[in-house]
Amino acid sequence: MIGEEVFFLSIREIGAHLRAKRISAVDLAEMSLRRLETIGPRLGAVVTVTRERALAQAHRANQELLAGKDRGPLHGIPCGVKDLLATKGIPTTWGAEPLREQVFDFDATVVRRLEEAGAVLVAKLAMVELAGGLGYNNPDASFTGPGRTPWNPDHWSGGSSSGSGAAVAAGLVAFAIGSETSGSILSPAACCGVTGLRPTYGLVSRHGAMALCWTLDKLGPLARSADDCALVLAAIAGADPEDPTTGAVFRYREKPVRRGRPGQRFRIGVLRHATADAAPDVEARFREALSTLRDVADLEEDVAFPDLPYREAVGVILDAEGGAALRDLIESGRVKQLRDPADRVGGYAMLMTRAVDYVDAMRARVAMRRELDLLLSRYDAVVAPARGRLAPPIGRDFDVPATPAPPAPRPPAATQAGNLAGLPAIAVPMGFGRDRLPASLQLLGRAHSEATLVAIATAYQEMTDWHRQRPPM
Amino acid sequence: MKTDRRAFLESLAVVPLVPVAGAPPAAATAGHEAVAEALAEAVKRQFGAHLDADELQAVRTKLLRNLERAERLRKAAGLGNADGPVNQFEAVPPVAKGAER
Repeated sequence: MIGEEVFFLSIREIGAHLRAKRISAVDLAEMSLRRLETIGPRLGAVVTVTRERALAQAHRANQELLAGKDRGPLHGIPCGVKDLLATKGIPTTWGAEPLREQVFDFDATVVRRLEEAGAVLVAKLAMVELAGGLGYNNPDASFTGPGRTPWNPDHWSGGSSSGSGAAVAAGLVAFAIGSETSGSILSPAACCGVTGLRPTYGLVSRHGAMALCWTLDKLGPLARSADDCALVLAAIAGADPEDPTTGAVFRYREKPVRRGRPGQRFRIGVLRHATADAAPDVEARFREALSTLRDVADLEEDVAFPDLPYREAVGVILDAEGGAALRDLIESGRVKQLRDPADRVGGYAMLMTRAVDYVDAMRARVAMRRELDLLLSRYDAVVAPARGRLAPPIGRDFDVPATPAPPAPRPPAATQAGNLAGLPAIAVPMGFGRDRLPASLQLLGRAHSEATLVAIATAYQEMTDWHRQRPPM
Repeated sequence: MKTDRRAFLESLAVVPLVPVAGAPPAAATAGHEAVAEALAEAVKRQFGAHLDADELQAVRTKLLRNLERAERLRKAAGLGNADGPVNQFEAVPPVAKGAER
């Protein structure tokens, strides 16, 4: 008899149990629904449990397996999606009080592709209201309340894909879909101690997803391991006529992980000042992770990151595109119903963004893309902590530092830079710091280098067990 | 007056240890204050019904920060006349391009 510990197994392991008939897709769905309904609210991780749709999909998955039809590795696997993806007939709230009744009459492309891959949609997962686009300043920025990391529910889950991170970490779903404009997959992956993969811009269709920034938004998986993320990405990636930015495909072929033989080792750059603003325990875990990676990679330390105004450019673009995308909500005054006070006023300043500043930011992206590609062409990946700090406590505003920041060099803005240039990145757990809070390693690569990033992350996860640890729920 | 998360992170990122080339001069900052005030007045006239005095002050502060941020971006990026934006307009719509193939 297989119990709820099954949700802490990999997708391949769960699939093996399904195919060996040790558990059914319906049993899996029922267990997942029960966990979502009991544990989910304690973590602020769930908006809507999609019981009816889940059980229908699970029954179909069972029948198909019995009839010999196997849709692949996601067949019968329970999953959740961030509540900014349209689902036909089920509320899609974008995490925002004024949109709690919003219902679309179609499925987002990603939702449809997951269904075609046999996955079972069990929940719409919580998120920071409007994907954080209006400048939230506190973990409590969703009508579902603050997202809490299962490792220590007094601390934030990260955001804006807060429920996607927490639900995977707590074993409520086997994997989840999140979105990232500037850190919204990597941040919850880091705070929740799971693996998060931000794909190359244009690899995954955004049709049916809330638009925040048309030139920055990306959708990607959060799961227990790099291999799981790749399996999910392979199911959701690819051209979609409904999203003209798409076209490339991602074919995941499990390749033998390159090991210690000369010429077959990975080449990794360690960014200069990568831990400049890091907490001591994050820095320690980072050094340990580098030591582990040396078994499979040649590491070049002190690699200079192109010094360009990434943070400023992201801010200007987010204000301009986000202001346009959310203009109706801002102008109508309905933003007053939002949870976080900063979100109630941020939009009005965004509407005043000057056109020339936006165009300058888009001009600056040309050099950023070129310089970053030049750097990344020398490596399989560059590395830095996914977050320099551990998850902050619930209740504290983000602009109140835990400790006064000592004078230090600026850390590389790898997350903002990667997003501006549309580059893929993967965040993998690398251990724990104070209060049993997870720390995370970020690998950043060239456009369409997901397979390489996954290979490095998989090699790391074969040498460590951080991704297999379970929070004390 | 509180700052929001984005502005706070940006401010952390840009506080230099020593004065750097490209930092907006004092005169530019003073100019930004006047522009921020004008933009805040535009917000007040257009959306004042939705905002109380404290909220309008928060908007004014954010506007000033945004102008300073744009100035930093412009100085640091060193853009010249020929530097075009990353997204170029295309005359042929995507669907039509697909039909040609």
